[in-house]
Amino acid sequence: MNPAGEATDLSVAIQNETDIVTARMRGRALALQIGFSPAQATLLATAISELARNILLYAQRGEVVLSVLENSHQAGVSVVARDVGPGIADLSRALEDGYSTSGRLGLGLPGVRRLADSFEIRSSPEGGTIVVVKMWCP
Amino acid sequence: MIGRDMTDLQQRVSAAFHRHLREASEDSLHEAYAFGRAALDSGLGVIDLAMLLSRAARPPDGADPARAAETAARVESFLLECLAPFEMAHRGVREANAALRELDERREAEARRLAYELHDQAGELLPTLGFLIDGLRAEATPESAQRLDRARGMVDELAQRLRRLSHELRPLMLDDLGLEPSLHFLAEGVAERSGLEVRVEGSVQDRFGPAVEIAVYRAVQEALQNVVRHAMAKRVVVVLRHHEHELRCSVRDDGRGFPIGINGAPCPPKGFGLDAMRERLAKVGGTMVAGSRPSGGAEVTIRIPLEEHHARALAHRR
Repeated sequence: MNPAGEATDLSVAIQNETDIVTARMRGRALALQIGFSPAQATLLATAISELARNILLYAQRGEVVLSVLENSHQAGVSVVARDVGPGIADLSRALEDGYSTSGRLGLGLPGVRRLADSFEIRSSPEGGTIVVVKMWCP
Repeated sequence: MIGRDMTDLQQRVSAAFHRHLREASEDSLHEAYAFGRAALDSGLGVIDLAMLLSRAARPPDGADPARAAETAARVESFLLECLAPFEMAHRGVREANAALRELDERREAEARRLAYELHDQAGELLPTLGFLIDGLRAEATPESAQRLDRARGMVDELAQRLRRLSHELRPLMLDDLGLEPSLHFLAEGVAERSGLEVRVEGSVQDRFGPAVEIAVYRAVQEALQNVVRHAMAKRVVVVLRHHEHELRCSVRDDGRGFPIGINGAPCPPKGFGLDAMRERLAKVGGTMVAGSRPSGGAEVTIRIPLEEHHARALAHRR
């Protein structure tokens, strides 16, 4: 939180592989800072990798926004991955294993859903795709 | 995994690892992650990956002992990255298993309902129908009496078939009488339909709880179906034994045995339902071994540890 009481968001533009590395680094640093173990921080970096990779693969450009979450008894990190690409025609299928090459391996969006404590996705041809993932520090 | 691919992967992971030891950057971690992802994609197993990593992570000659702690931390972060894609995939498998179990439980509940409908609802009408025919027969001419006798015989036959069908769908008998009588009934049905000689050996009167009993029953049912379909056998023996800490059940036939796999060991091909059987047994902590016997024929052995007995034995020791 900044002095104004608003959550401090960290936005990383995603346009190439290097940006994926930057987003991972920021996410990992944030996670370690609020008390994630190295293993949990790795899984957060993994989720960021998969989300950013999807942006490059399907929309060419977009952004990943990281912020710290707080409630009365725990802290966490939220990752918002946003693009203005063509959208996903069939959302429920995109979340099934086997829909894409990554999904077949249990990676991609289905993989991220399993790593996260909460996972939301919205997609439309006009507005592109937005995925909101939250991971809490146990 | 082919040898050459393994060598390529080894070189790639060793290079990535040494880079990470030098610079410990997000870039080098990203490379580790990308490697793990590629390894998973190429069909590498966790054991293979562990071997590649352990070889890559051997401390270089002349490593500075003063920096051992730093090196260990870098080794750890590198390993975590490589394994992260496997963790994701592993969670997927666990989720699929849980879904499969739930599906199996729902199917079992549905089978139970249908079996009950068949047995109690439909089955109840048949004796009444038989009674009606008996009444008609008393007043019938000799000519129609003959036809009524045939109808009466068909009602009995139908009742018998319904009972068998209901039993195979869900052995309600299992709940009332236990495992061994139900296996006898199952064996009679299979023998009748297939012409196989099916014998059930054992004198197990104990009860083991519905989860264990249905798991064993279904496994034997599947094993007998396999024998009928694939084994070209004449005789099958089902042996049920209650050992001190486990329930053991084997199904042996005198058929042609399982096909031989490339490594020379008998290997039942997919479609024998053995995977589903294993999964169902795993739910109650059981295991299953399938193989060909030296004297010919196939044998499937199911073992289920019995917890209460286990607990009692432990209590004795204290």
